[in-house]
This record gives sequence, C-alpha cells and structure tokens, in this order.
Amino acid sequence: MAELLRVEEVYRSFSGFPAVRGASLSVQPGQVVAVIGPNGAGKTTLFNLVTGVLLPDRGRVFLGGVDVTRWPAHRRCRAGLGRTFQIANVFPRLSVFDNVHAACLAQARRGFHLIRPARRFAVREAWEILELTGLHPQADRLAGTLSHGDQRILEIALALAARPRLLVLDEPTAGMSPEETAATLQLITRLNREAGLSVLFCEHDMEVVFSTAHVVVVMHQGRTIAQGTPEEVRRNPEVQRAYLGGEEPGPEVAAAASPRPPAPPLLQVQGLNTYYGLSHVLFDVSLEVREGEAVFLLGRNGAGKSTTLKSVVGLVPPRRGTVRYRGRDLRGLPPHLVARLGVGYVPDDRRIFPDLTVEENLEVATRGSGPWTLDSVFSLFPVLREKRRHRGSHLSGGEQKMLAIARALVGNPELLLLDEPMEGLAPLLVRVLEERIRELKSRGLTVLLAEQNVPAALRLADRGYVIDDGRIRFEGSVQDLQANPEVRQRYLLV
Amino acid sequence: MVNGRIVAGLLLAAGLAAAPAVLPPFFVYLLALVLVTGLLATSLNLVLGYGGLYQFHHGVFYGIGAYTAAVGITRLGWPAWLAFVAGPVAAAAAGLVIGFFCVRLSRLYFGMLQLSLGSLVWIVALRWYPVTGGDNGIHGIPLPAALQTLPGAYALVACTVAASLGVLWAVVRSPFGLTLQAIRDNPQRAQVMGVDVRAHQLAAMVLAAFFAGVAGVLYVALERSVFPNMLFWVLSLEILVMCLLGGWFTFSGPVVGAAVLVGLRTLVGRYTEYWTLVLGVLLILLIFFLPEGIMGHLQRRWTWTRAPSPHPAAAGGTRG
Repeated sequence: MAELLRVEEVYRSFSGFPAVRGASLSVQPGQVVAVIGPNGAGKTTLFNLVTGVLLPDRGRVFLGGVDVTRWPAHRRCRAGLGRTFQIANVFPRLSVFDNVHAACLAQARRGFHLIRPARRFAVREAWEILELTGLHPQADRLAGTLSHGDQRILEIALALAARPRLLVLDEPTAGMSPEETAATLQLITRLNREAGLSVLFCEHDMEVVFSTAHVVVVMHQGRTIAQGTPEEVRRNPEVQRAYLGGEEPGPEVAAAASPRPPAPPLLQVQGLNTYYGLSHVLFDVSLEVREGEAVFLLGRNGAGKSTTLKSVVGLVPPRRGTVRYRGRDLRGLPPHLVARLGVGYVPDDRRIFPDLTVEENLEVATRGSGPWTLDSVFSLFPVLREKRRHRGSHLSGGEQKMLAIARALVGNPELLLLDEPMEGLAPLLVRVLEERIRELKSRGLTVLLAEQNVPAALRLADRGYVIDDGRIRFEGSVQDLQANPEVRQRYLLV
Repeated sequence: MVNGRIVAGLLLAAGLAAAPAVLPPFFVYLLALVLVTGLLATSLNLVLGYGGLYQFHHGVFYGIGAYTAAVGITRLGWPAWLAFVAGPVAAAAAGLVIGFFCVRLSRLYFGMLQLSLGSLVWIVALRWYPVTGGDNGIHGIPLPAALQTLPGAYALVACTVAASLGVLWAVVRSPFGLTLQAIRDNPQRAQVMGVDVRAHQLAAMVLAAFFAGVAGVLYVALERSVFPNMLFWVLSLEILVMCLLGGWFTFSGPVVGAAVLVGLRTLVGRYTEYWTLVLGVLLILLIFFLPEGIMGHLQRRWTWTRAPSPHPAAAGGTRG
C-alpha cells in the first residue's frame, strides 16, 4: 500500500472519438500532482474517469490499492475522493450554508434521516468548513447569487466536506482574480501541508502549476506523454513546443503601437444603472468605443464587467442610462435585434448549443455577407474544423470557448464584445487567440474586451476602463494605466 | 421570525378547528375537499418542487389509495380502519414499483415512462368490472357511523391532513429533505459528494405515493365513492398546476394552489361550465407576473418566513 491513486492505461471514447486513449498516472499520499496539456487533451475526461462520473472503456483505476474501476461516483467519494468541476457546479437555490451542510450530511451518511431537523446534525462541521474556506460571512446568501470566484471556492468547500484523502480539482483557479487565485492556492497548500491531503488538479496557469505541484503530468491527444518534477517538465522541449509556447512577451509590445487619430464613436454608453432584482449592480457606468479601437474593461470578479456587456446587448436591460450604437439609441431593443445591428457578443460561460454539431452551431449564427464564413473561422481555429461533426457537448471546455468566439464571428459583427475570452485556455492558445484578436483588429473589427487577464488585455488594447463595485474607476490609455500603480493595486491587485 | 411562523400556524389550526361550528355545511365540505386536495398536491411537491422530478402522473397513487380502501371494504369485507391503512401502503408499494423503473431515466423520459405506467393502472381500474366497478366506480361505500356525518368526516380529514402535513414538513427540513433539494439543484454534484442519487429519489417517490394514498383514503371518507377518473392523467395535470400556481419551491404553495383550483371549480363552476377558462386566464397572468407562484412571491416579500443559518454556538449539534 504505497500509492493513493493509480490509473492504468485508461481509454474512453465518445461516439467514436477517443477522448482518452492510454492515460496512466499515480498519486502518492501527501503529493500534489498537476495535469497539464492543451485544450482538448482529455484532462477533464481523465478526471471524470478517476472520480467515477464516467466509466472507462478499458484500463483500471485503483484507490488505496483497491480496484474501483467499476464503482459509481458516490461510492468512490465515500472511499475518500472529493472533486470539483471546471464550471462552477454548486446548488444554486440553496444557501451557502445549506450547500456545505448537505455535503456534511452526505459525509455523515445522514441522507436518509427523515424526522429530526437537518439543523440538528453536522452543523459544527459545516461551520468549520465555511470558516476554513473563508465563506462564513456569506453563509445566508443563495449560492446562485455568489460571484464566480466564490462559487469556485464553495465547490472546494463541498469537496472538503467529504473529508477526502484525495482532492481532485478541475481548473480550480479558472476565472478567478489574482487575489482569489492566491487565496485558493494558499488553501490548497495549507490542506496539503497541515492535513496531509493529496491533490490532483489540472490547470492552465503555469505559475499556479509550477509553484504548487510536486509532480507534473503532461497530457496530449488523450495520452499522458510525460511525467516529472516541475523543473523537468518545464525543460522538456516537447512540452515547450506542444503547450507552453516559449516565453510570454512583455506588455510593451502593444504599448509601442502608435496612437491612432480619433475615429467616430461606434458605441456610447452614458450613465448606465442596472439592477438584478432589487440589488443595484451598475452605477452610472459611461464608456465609449470608437471605430477600429480595441478597448479593455478590466476588473475583479463581480466588479460589473459581465453586467456591463449584458446591459449593452440588452440581456439585462438597464433601468437608467443610454446605450447608443452608431448614434442609434438601443434602449428597449431586444438582444437579437442588437445582434443584427452588428454587435457580436461572446458570453463568459460559453453558452454553446450542446445538441448541435460544431458546424450546426456556426450555421445557425451565420448572418450577413462579410469576411467571416465557416471556412474562415475554421482556419482561425483549426481544431473546430477537425471536430465539425461533433456535438457541442462533446467538446472540451477550451474548445467550447473557441466555438463561442467563432459563432460570434460568423455573424459578421462590426463590434465584438468579448467576455473573458482567455479564461480556461491553455497558454499556447491564449497566445494564438491574442494573435487572432490582433488580426481581427487590423482588419477593422472593433473590440470591447472584458478581462481579468490583465497582461493579455493590455497587450491587445489601445485604451480602456477599470471597473470596480459597478463604478468606472479609471479611464485612459494602456500607458496611463501602467504608469498608475495605485489603480492597478487597488482595483486589479496586480 | 420563528415566532411569526408559530403564531401563523396556531391561528390556522384554530381556524380549522372552529370551522364546522361557524361555517355552513357546504363550506365545511368544501374546506375538507381543499384539505384533501392540498395534501395530495403537497405530496406531489415533495418529488416535484423539492426533488426536481417530473412526476407527471401522481394521481395514480391517489387513485390506488382510494381504490384499495374502497375495494377492501366493499368486496373483501375489511373493517374500515384496516382499509384506511391498506390504502396508503398499497400506494407506497405502487410508488416503489413505478419509481424503481422511473429513477433510471432522466427528466422528461422519467415523466413519459410514468405516464405510460400510470395509464396501465388506469386501464385496469376502468376495465376490471368485477372488482373496481369499471367506469361506474364504486359508490355508497359503507363506513362507520361516526364518519357518515359531515362533522365526523371533517374531523378525520382535518386531523389526518394536519398530521400528514406535519410529517411532510419535518421530512422537508430533515437531512433527507436537504439532500433531496441538493439533488434537485445538481444531481451530478450530489453524486460526487457521496450521495446515492437514485436511492434518494426512489425514497422520495415512495413517501410521496404514501401520502397521496392517504389523500385518496380521505377522499373515500369524505365522498364514500371512487371513480376511474381519479387515476386519469388529467387529474395529475391539475395537481401539477396546483403546485405551480401556489409556488413549487415553497412548502405551503401547493395547499394554496389546491384552494384556488378547488374554489374556482366549485364556485365559478356554479355559474358556468367554462370555469377552466377563468383558470386559463389566471395561469397566463401568473406565468407573467408571479413566475414563482403565489407563495413563492409572498415569501420573497415576507422575509420573516426565512430561517437564518444556525450557528454552532446556538445549535451545537455535532452528532452527525
């Protein structure tokens, strides 16, 4: 009995497409193991095979020396395996406390207790976990109303409630602000050091991987191709080429671009006030995007970036304020008519059509005659051409992201609103996407980019805005922002 | 907060107890009918609103409860108390059998399979003349003298419904109830938390079927007759509408929905046979203005109905 987890040559196909074909790995007690690899390499599928959400076609999975290959997920959980999902996966209609409490009750095997109130059991355990994860001030909120980052942390809390020996985390810091990322890493490291908890996680943020993991496993096209210490893997030339893509360029690349002469404004937002039910989310947000510009909208989770974009396209109609597109007032216009005017919108949560194929996803969105056709988006994202006949739900998270962007492009928009396009993409793909967005810009497309990835956004954009607590806190060029450490630290934590 | 709930409950109990003394008999009868239907709808809501299962044919369990009692008394010569216990037990057994197959399917397929299995039961009730009386049903079921008067029947209905709702309320607040709601929100997440999702869904169905059976037996006590329409899918649809109308994410919603529906049918039905027209308009208005149902809307306003999370200092229980 040495290994906590051993995966032996597992295979799994979806309607003929092999997502995992020969993956092996092992986790020793007390180890933190990271799995890295390009989007679509099969990381999430491998995690589903480990946790029993899917069963493998071939191969075996051992947990603490016991063959669990055919065990269902709930049984593996009771054997000490806790996990989180790539997309925040909580109980939205229950309060934060009830979320964790339900998990504690499952751990205590009280699920079938019928008569005494739930609040007589495992309350202290639930509070301990809430305090451990720092969620206790929000205990009474409905989980569905938490910010994205907090939902991710709540997920970790749910996994911890099962008192796991091995914690499996699927991109734990995706979509988190630098502050939340740091807090999450601290939590993981602490659990590992103090409680001896083993962790298996996959992640695209290489700083996270190299600072946290003891062992790094590299996946490529469904196989595990390398395994070693972070240093060994970092130096492996094959990994460099397939995944990491060399050193990151400095932010000065874009900053060096010459300021362009002022063009006519394409989008003018004035005094926007938006509410979700009774809660006031945006306060007098004003911004302007001129033709041919790339404008950044930076801010932490829950700062109001997504809401601003949704208010512009009419998904969350603002209560007060005006949105003008080419001088035309968009007030009261439903989202589909806004789209027809030439505003493309890429939501942060992908929203692809799961039962349509990649090709069908794109066909239903094709509109107008312009540079963007099926062929041209396929050459932008070759992986989508390869998978054109696959159903949307069979794509990996990163591929769905690409599909969402491609889908906005085939509508041939003049203005593209991108909500966190970089989230969940492998480093190499972030670079590719950056290239592509720059290319789009040079072809005359106007872009409003809401991002948390501050360096990437600053490399791409000319100027922009920083938003916090629903208010615009800063407006200026990339150089202005770089020269203003106070704004960066206070609102962006970088 | 909690006091508000207790006061509201006591007032309600007092009102129910005083009803036969102050109301004319017709309204006492109507109130009893509302209570029976309200229990039926609440039992459905355990699986629908709290469990997130598309229980499209809940009327079957109501019918099985009622028919078991009726057949037991008239054909098998059982004493009333035995028949009244056998009804819910038979309904729960049917829930176990039908549920066993249904929980293997997801969402709409669950509902479709249930409709087909339920329709089988309906056909049996409709065609098996020697036992069920076929399309005539069974009428004039002999009951003990105490139940033959309206106040007697009302007392049985009111006490049983109150006790049953009390049990269902406890179930909803129990660890089982919380787990069920977690499954409703996200079955996959619940599964990797170590919850056996199907076993919980099946248990919820058996419980719901049991209390639908209780409602069926009470209907026999009140009306002294059963008829095959009790198992027809149209009735199941009506119960579903009651839950949506009253608010399917609340405990009291289904009772309120039942009151509205039974009231409409009886009171508006006196003036026109097109009372469903009124119901239709009401439903449309509801979907637009109160999408969470009547009680769902009120609970948003009345924050005192929301209990805060217990703190360990106050609750202290660690017996998990």
